[in-house]
Amino acid sequence: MARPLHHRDRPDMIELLNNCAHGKEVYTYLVTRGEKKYLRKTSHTIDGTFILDREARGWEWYQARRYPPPAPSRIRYEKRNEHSILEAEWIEGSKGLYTKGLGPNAQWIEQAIMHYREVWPRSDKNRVPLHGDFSLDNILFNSTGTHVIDWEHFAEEGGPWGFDALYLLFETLWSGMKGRSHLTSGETRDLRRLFKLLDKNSGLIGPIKKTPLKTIKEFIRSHQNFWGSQLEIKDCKLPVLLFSEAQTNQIDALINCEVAE
Amino acid sequence: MTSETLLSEMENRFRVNADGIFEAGNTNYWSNLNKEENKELIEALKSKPARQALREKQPWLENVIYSPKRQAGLELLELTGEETCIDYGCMWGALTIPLAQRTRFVLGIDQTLDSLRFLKARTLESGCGNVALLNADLKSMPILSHKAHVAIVNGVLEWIPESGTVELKKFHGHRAERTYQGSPRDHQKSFLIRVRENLVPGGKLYLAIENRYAYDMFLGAKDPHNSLRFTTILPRKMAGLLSRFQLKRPYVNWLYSFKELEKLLIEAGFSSVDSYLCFPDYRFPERIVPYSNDLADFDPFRGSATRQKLEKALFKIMRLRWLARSIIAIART
Repeated sequence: MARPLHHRDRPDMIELLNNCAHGKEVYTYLVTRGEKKYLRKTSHTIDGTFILDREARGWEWYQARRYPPPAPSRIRYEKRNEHSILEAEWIEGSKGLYTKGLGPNAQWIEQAIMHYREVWPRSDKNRVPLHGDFSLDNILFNSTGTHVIDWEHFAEEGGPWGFDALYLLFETLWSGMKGRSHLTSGETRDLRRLFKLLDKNSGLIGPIKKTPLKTIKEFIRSHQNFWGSQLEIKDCKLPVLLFSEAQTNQIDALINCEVAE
Repeated sequence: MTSETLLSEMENRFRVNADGIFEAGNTNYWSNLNKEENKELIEALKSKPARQALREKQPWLENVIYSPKRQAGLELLELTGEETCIDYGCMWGALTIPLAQRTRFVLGIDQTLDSLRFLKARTLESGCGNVALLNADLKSMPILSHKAHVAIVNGVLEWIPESGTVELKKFHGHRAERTYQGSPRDHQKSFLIRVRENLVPGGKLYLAIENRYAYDMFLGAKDPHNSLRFTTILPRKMAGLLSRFQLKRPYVNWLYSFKELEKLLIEAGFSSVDSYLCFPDYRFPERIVPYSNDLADFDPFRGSATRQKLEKALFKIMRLRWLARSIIAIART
């Protein structure tokens, strides 16, 4: 459970990192107390507090899976009317850079997929919690393993198993293609290998296995409430949507071709 | 102290006008809007909600007044919700309303009655029953018997040496003979002493202002207070001569460096000062970084590629904190 914040927990230092990014009325700070650092998010509106509520639920779900008890809670959350404040322990680590595409990030994506397979449970209904922004920008790697941060789009029983990991794969692919219409042989090889890693032991079920990119795009479009303001601002906040229909069919065919082999 | 006691003091000491605003006999005027424009806006308030009236009459001001980005710096005050606050030079309430939503009581003081009329409409519409407004000259501001926990001086200190009427559109870069008495610094210091005297022991001041030595001033950017180049970085006497030559009036909108501002605050009786670098400016901050930060993780805010490279070189590599564009100081009594 998230612990409440107390006034005696005053920081030694506070720094504004992000001010209402992507049109969300959420403020992000880095807070230092002694040797410890925390990521603090605050909001003073009903909409912003709704986002932080989701983030707190996401963190709670994740830490129960990733850092099971007796590990102490890594987050603290306090809400008073429309005012909310969430603090999560600051995690130092390396990140991939999604703009570089699949090849240079293949090792990070591989680790992220393995982490996804370990943490995300499979269910009979094939509906699992959704991170909603499972991007290389939100995944940290350090000596203690892989850590997923930024749970603002969390949705319980949100989508089919594999959604977040596939989103990561396709977002990184799109960023690396930089407007090209066709995949390079290297991209095709990496895409097939990473997809296979995720699907190992029949992880993926149903349409998301047969037409993964098409299914991901359709899912986002039919669940716009999960992403809200991001979709209102511009499509490129969810770059997966920018694949054309022809590219989508091509990519799904490439993946299916390999799976069938 | 309770907010009720401060409110009682206001009721006992000052006359309340028909708009429900306390008046302390002020005749000064300072506004981004000319008097005629303000009159039109106030007239529109009679039939429309404040934001809609603003959108119709002065659409460029909507973001300036309502943007949620404006309040990001208030987190530095570590508010508990129990504070009584005074917002000096509150104008249309860019910080007054967010502060009222987070604390027990806010007294907004401004010398332009029309700005307070607009703010009064906003407080009524947003259900902020914990705000009182006082029209007073900030230079001869009353010392209150009931003290506040928090004072806000947001983009105000540099204007303290001015008096009379300042219609900003007619003032910026326009020649106009004006006479002033005394040193700008003395006026600013006296004002800060009064601000401090209105705070409880242990109270906090949030002061935001442009940095005198902001790097873009060295590159010939115009001083946002008078539209002149290089006045902020020149020695005061030379800046005065330049202003007299170009605008026919002395240079009085003094800005300060980090060190100078800290010294001024200590001289005004504050016991400690924490300074912060602000990017791109204090009004719409995207980054607020403690002055003591080593800037190793400094990440330039988006802007042109050239500006990002320059800021990276100045702050992340060379760590020239004193060139930051704006300053926020949190001073304690």
